[in-house]
Amino acid sequence: MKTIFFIFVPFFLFLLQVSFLPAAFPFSPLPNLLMIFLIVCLILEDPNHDGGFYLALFSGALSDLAHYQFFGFYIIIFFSVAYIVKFILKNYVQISLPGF
Amino acid sequence: MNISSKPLSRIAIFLPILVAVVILFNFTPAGDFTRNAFLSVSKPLQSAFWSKGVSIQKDNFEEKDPDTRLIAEIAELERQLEEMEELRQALDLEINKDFEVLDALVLGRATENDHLILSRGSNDQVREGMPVISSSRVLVGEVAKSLKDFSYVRLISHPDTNFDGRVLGKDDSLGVIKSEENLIMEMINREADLEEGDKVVTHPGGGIYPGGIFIGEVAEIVRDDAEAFQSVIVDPGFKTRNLEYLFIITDF
Repeated sequence: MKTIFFIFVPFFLFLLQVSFLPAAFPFSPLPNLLMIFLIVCLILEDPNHDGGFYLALFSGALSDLAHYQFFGFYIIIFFSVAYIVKFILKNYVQISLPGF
Repeated sequence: MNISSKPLSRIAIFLPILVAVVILFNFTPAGDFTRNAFLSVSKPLQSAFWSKGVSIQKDNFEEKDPDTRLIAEIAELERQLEEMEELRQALDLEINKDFEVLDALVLGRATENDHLILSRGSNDQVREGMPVISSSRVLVGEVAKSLKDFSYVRLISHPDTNFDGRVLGKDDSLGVIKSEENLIMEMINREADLEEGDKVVTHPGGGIYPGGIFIGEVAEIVRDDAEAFQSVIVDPGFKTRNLEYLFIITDF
């Protein structure tokens, strides 16, 4: 169930990001929905779990598939963000939220 | 496996795999094949989302002030008709020269800015460098990458834009069109008599685009006494609004 959630939600956000928002708001700066979703999941996740890294990998791969230049660019960015957020949360922040 | 328990061993496993995948995708046809397969699967959804976005954008635009909008649209259409007639005359019917076009559905905007994804690819004889125009024959950009069934269009607003243009004013003036913050036409003879509102069209000299395709209007003239040339800021005729179909010029 969790896996399906982490596949379909990023894919839906990807469709919003690439196909819906640019058409509906052509002149507006658009947020990176996949990145926002990733960071939210990383914050809610138990810092000792690594599901966020798989999500970063999947979200980065989706973003890389939607352009034609260097494949891996967004994977590296998403993965780096995941690593930094994890590092900060694990070492400097202590929050108790119902984790995923 | 826990990320915190053995981070080094995890990275040691992950990095070679990532490097292998990156090499495989970037230096073999596997990358294009995967992108094409992914777009083939997501095409119906992307198309539906894009159409929905366009319709919402239209609705929002109409809701603001329907009467004013209609009057403005009629005035705009009349103005465009007059302009097109003027253009035809000015170009000695150059714009009416036949070129073969292929219609393509817009599926989305690529992750890079200033790129659109179209539903035509090399299977439809679409090749890199082919010009892309809107239904009103306004220059949109060129095909930057052609997959088997899809292609990516680099819009003229992209910083890599560089092609020959022509201002249709009192003097026909040639120049080079580039995109920085705005669309700029440079290297225009400083003696040329230009006015704001003059039409800017493509020039076939560079071999990139056929001649006479409308690009936009002169919005501002930049003239410096110290410079050997003058330049103009062009207000592009193409807007990324209400775009559902584009046309790829396959032969000109």
